[in-house]
Amino acid sequence: MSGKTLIGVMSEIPVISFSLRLLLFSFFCCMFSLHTFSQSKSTPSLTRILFLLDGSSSMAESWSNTSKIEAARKIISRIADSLDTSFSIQLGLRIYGHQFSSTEMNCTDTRLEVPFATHNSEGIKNALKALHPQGITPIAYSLEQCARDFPTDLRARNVIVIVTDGEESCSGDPCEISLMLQQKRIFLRPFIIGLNLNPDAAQKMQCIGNYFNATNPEVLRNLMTTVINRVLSSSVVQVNLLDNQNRPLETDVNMTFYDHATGTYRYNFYHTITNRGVADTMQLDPVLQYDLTIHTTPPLERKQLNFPAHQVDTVNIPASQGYLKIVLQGKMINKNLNDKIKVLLRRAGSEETIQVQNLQETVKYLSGKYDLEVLTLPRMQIKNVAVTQSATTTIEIPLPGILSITKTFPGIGSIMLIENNSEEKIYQLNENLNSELLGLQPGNYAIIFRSKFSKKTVDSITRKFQIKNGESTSVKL
Amino acid sequence: MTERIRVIIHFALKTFWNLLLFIPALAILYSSYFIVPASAQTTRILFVLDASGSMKGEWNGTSKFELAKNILNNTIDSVSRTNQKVEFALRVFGHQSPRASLNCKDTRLEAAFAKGNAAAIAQRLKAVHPQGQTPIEFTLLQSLDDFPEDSQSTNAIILITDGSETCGGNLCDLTRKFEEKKIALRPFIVGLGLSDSLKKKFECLGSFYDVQDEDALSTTMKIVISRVLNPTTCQFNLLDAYGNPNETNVEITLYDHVTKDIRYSFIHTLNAKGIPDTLTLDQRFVYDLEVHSIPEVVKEKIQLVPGIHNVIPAEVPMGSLEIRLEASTGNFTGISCIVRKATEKEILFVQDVNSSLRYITGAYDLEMLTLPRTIIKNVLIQEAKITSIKIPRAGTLLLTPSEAGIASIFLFREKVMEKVYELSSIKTQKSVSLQPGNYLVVFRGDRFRQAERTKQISVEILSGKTSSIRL
Repeated sequence: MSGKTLIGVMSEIPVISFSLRLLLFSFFCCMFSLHTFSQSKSTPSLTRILFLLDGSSSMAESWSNTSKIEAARKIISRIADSLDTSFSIQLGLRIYGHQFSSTEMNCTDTRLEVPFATHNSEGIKNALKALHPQGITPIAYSLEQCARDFPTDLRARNVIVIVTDGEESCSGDPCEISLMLQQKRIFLRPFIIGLNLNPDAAQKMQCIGNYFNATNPEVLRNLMTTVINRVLSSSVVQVNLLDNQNRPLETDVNMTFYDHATGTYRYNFYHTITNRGVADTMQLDPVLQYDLTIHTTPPLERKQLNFPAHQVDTVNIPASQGYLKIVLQGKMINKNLNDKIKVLLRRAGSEETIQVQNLQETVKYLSGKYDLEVLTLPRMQIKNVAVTQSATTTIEIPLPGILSITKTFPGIGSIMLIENNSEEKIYQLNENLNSELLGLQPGNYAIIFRSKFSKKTVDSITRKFQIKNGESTSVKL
Repeated sequence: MTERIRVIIHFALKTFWNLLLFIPALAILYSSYFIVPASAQTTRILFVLDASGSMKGEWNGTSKFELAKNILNNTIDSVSRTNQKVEFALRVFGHQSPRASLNCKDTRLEAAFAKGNAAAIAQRLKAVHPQGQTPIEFTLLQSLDDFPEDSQSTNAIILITDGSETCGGNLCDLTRKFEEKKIALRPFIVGLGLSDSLKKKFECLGSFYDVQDEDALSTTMKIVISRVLNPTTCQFNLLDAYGNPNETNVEITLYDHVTKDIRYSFIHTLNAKGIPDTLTLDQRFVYDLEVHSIPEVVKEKIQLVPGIHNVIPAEVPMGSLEIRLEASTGNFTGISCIVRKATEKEILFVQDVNSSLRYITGAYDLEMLTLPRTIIKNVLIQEAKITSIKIPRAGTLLLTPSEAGIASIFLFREKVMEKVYELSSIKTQKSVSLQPGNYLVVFRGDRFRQAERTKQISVEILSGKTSSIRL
């Protein structure tokens, strides 16, 4: 929405841009809730940002013309100041490795220095001033402790920004803890800013969340601004559903965005083409990584999509679709029998049923080949039916004949299909009924029937009959 | 014998009665086939006698040929006296050319089938002297033409021989040749003191009996004749999970193993004593049994031992699956339930909801074509028990659009949104039958060209109730 223009000026006048951005952010929140009343329920009114800062001994090392801790202190203080007037943003500060000397190897050295509150930039600045780096780097343990820092409030967006200059120095696995806490919905996908980490250490940080490497204090400042910028803006996403000629013309289908870490549903939109003839953009929370499902039949999926907020992110997805219509050749008089005939659809060669289609219905499918199993009596297989871009493929099912069975005495038995010199049971007569009406596909059949009470095999009778398209046949037993 | 005739009359009457009753009533093709005892009609027995040189060999001072000849004469004589329905014929091989001439086509029908030809056969036999080769395969192939065309008769071949094929024929291959020609004929073979390796070859061909002396030959001939003349009966023991023959009331098809034709189909029945009913089947055929349980149970190559009561077991342990729609009246629901064997993808059977069917015991996966589909995995069917599955009645979702638009109905299945129903266009009120549960209706008016104008409304559907929402 507004991300692009603001980011450009960010490095020169970050503080001003923050205030401006904040204004726009609140404005956008209003607009957002106005537009989509149902979606806005998942757009929280409160954003909490916890800075998790490295206070280990190495942070005291000099970095360009300053020290690492000084660079971090400066930018965090500045951000705290710029956000201080907001009622919709709360900040918190947790530091690790600062209470005990590194020689003590204290793996539980972490402390929430400033709990969440609005207008607490003074508290944060003071805590940063008092900080003397000295200890080790228990990232996993600290991250775990963060869970308690966030008040339980499902309406808030909980964001964590980790600033560290070293990898985990205790036994914990920060990636595992991060994922677990995301799944418990404690916080959204964390941001990690490494202070000049070597590639090996950086690699290990990637799985905690969104990782950035700051090579010098200047880059740190820019990165931190970008991250906060992103947290407070929204991603603008355009999904292009491509037809068979790669034109973004497919539309009017639901799209669901899931949070990848938790697997939970976040947004659902109908894909829409605007009056300008392009796919409409959507605004999403920029902190998350998404799994996208396009509810075509069968559905399309894209996993782990990242939408950094500084441009319109376009996702191109081939979604060529056509129509399939299944009809009877002729008209069946009996509606009940007609309605009972369902068609199971599977991707050609696959076993999974993706749709159950009714007769006379037209359904839109992804272009491709499908296998149909028609639940007539007996069942009918139609393989390799092609659905092609924008065209309607029509499949005609031979009109069943109608078999009317009258029983003059209570009995048991079945209808057998006689085909290739063998008998296959396709329907068992209902012994509680005196008469039954069935739709049967054209072919040769036999009913084997015997009185319920008979004690002799020879009382079995076999009646052979033929069923023709659309014709009625009666059998009296 | 009288008992058998009575049964035949019963059958005939029954067939006639059924035909009479139904043919005029209905304009469609009917044919009823019954289990007709094969031995009801003429029985034709062809003796094929070995007159090769080796038959001159002696047993206790009498030549094997002489012994065989006497027993043949006695047998034909005594059977003809008591049974008017039996006809005999005689084919001899190896008697026309000396062994040295290596005549492998030395076979001749000495007496053709006819009534009261015992004396004629005896007369012909007097003139036969053993001397030549043993062309068994060629002889048996020729003998097939000795039987007159009569689809109702019971045909039997009794081969009496003391030696192995000497003309390169292969007895096991011969069986295959018979099968290829779709001839259902398994000869009885009476071997006169044969070696073990020979016995095996003859067992391949038919029912083999080995005799070592005159007494045994006489006794064996009696047994063989009784096998031919006595009814061949059988019962199918459909075994439950405990191995007891209690399963019944299921359709059975018996196919001819050789020609694959359907020979009999009937419903398995327990008789008044509660044991599987005795059936008289045509003994000439080898059968493939198909029990039409769900899934079917097939047993191939069932060979009836002629002249005795055969018990044929098949494991068909069954239990019932009852699927009911809650709070429904009447039988018709229009809802089908797809039944698969657990973990298998292929459809086994489609059962109507509000019906009960028996299945072979085991685990099954059910998929009911409700909206959305109701899937129940691993439903256990147990011996003689009824497994009852109830599915709730659908509720109704009434959608009232405030403007023309597009709508879809979703269900959350383990956090994942699953499309249940799609309305590519909705202008007026529309009702959809849905299984009870929480749904999300997604709607966008046609006039809106922004994705963010997508509306979402949660709705709960209760069984048998209508939930209304305005879009």
